[in-house]
Amino acid sequence: MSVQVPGIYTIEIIYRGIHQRHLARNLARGIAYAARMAGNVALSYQRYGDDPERDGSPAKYFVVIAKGASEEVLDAEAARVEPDYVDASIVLDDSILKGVESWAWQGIQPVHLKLRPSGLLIVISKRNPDELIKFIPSRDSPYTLVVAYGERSIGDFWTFQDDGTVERVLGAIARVLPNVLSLDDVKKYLGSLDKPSERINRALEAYQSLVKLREVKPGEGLPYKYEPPHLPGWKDMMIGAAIPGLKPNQRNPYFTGGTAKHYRPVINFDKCIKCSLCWEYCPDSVFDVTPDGYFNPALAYCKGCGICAEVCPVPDTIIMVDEMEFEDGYGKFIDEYKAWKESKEAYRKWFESLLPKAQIISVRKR
Amino acid sequence: MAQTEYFDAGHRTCQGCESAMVLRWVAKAAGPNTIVIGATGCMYVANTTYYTTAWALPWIHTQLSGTGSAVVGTAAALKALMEKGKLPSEKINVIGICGDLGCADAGLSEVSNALTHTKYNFLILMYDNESSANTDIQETTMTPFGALTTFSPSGKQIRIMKYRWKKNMAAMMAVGHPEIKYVATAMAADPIDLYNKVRKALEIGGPTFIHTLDPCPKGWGYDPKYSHEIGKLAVETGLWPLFEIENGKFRLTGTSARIASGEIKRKPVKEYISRQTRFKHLTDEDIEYIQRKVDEMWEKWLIPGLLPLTKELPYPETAKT
Ligand SMILES: Cc1ncc(C[n+]2csc(CCOP(=O)(O)OP(=O)(O)O)c2C)c(N)n1
Ligand code: SF4
Ligand code: SF4
Ligand code: SF4
Repeated sequence: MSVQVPGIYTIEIIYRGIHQRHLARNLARGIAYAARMAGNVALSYQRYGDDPERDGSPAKYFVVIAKGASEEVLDAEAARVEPDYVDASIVLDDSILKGVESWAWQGIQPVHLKLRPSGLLIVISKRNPDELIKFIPSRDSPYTLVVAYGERSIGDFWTFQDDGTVERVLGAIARVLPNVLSLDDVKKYLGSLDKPSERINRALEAYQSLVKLREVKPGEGLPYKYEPPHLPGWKDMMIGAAIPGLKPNQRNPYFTGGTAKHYRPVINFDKCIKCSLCWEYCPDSVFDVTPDGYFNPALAYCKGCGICAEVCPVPDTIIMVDEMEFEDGYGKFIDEYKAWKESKEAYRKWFESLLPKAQIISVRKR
Repeated sequence: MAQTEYFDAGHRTCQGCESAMVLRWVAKAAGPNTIVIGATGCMYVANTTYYTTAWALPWIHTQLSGTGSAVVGTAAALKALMEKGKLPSEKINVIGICGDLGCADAGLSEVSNALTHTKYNFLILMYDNESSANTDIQETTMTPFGALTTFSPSGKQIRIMKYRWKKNMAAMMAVGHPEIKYVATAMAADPIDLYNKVRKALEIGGPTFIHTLDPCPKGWGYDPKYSHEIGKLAVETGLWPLFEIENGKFRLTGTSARIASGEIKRKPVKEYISRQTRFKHLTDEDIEYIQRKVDEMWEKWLIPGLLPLTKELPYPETAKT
């Protein structure tokens, strides 16, 4: 860890690539502008290693704010891939709590890996902190989990949903980090934009009633231990930086990509007609063919695109369900086929309980 | 069909990436005796994520525009080594894979040059996401009329930055290199058609070329679950004719053949355009223009999708007198 420069405050914004990119950027800029309007120096930047962003991949923005420091000190802070630690992490999509896997060399990282002891983990979610803690690995230092109540906001590369998320987060920051941005600072910034009163009201609403806090003690949470995979350094690499290849049907063990999904497919094997379309059309080769001809998703590799559910010809046989309905994760996922084989009755009940929570796919086919 | 995967899971492409789907099916069709050469682009950066890979085939990264030379070099080396008895004589497929920028723009001269090397056997596959997608969606010559890219945003002064029509790559390769035995267009939304075309290309020998149109949820702006549907719509609206030219014989395939025979009607291009946010700024007039261009291709061209000369070749006025 580097020596901390006094008076410097670092916030990271963790979001899903492309879907939430404009939201993350506008929020990062908003925090930096608000801090500057309040007389501080501040800047925001995107994590280099996450560029080029891919649909669904966890990605990061950073904001550095300093009271009294020079622009040069801030520039130096930003001249690196990412800070060693942050004072607050803002998670725009609660399903990212289940792990961050950006590149192979990092493995599946805990969402709060960079959070300083006693820092703040601010999550946009419709769940309360006690529910969210079930998805977050334990730490050996305390932190505060803050929920800014709200829906997941998903746009895409060319669109931004101005649905109040930026204002809600700013309101939450004013509530839990008044020493960084006060409510007056937030109001001043929002007042400088279009539709000022509407924006200020949204922030006020979050400030007054939409924030829930919970102190998390050391050891609370999932028992997941973060171990980055051992990948060779340049001295160990083969000549010409050759990479050892895979064997046929062997998935890349170092990079699963399973943390890129906010929905997952759940299969009703009772209804499956073994047509093989899901297997055929999955761009990520996720389905294993079982000896009796069913198709079982290796969820650690699934990116949650929803294509399998879309192409399945039998209604409600593959449904896409919010990741937050499942307490597995961090690289270990339910084996759906195995669960079904073990007890078809229990599986059927479980599947039916998920149906009302499923994203409706292929309405056209009904 | 082979169940074995030679391009397997564990790559960093987007949710619903059709280019990844193309590679999966090309690898399946080619089988284990294959060397793949990939140019810089999404299919390089996302598939070899820091010293790991999703390939179970020997795969070589070549520079962005280097596909043609690397492929000829590899095919020639294999041939020489086999003739000298240094390698057992067997069939090894050589496949060069490049994006639209790496193939139709930056790498065009090398790809074209490679396709004149009739002594060697290889396939060049151009996966076309209609942008330079890896570097965050920039315009290429393959970007369609009107599409938003980071280089062609819609502004207040100039509403449509990309006003030029998309280049006709498969046609150029077929017509410009008369000795090549196989050229085809394909897409991931019809993987069986793609599979068959790859097998044909590899079996026929000599240089061959396949151009796939790959919906890209990131750059085109749609929910990834619709990837295949968008691909199918490109064919159903007539925008993307599926064809193959085998030993000089042209044949429309799949849905495109059924459109040509009158069995099914082309859908309006609006059904395709309106599903993608990269076209969100287009007006009805713009869409009508695209429709007219597509109609022209189907109704007037000598061969739909391939030969833009019109059926009624204009006779020079001066020659009449
Ligand atoms: C000579 C050169 N110029 C620029 C780059 C930067 N670059 C890396 S990937 C890429 C885009 C390639 O686009 P395309 O071939 O269409 O493939 P896609 O990214 O769409 O898969 C560019 C421009 C490079 N690697 N080499
Ligand atoms: S959602 Fe379905 S099609 Fe998409 S990656 Fe997961 S298993 Fe494959
Ligand atoms: S697409 Fe649906 S019906 Fe067909 S094999 Fe997959 S789950 Fe079964
Ligand atoms: S940007 Fe497009 S081509 Fe590149 S990985 Fe994503 S979907 Fe695939």
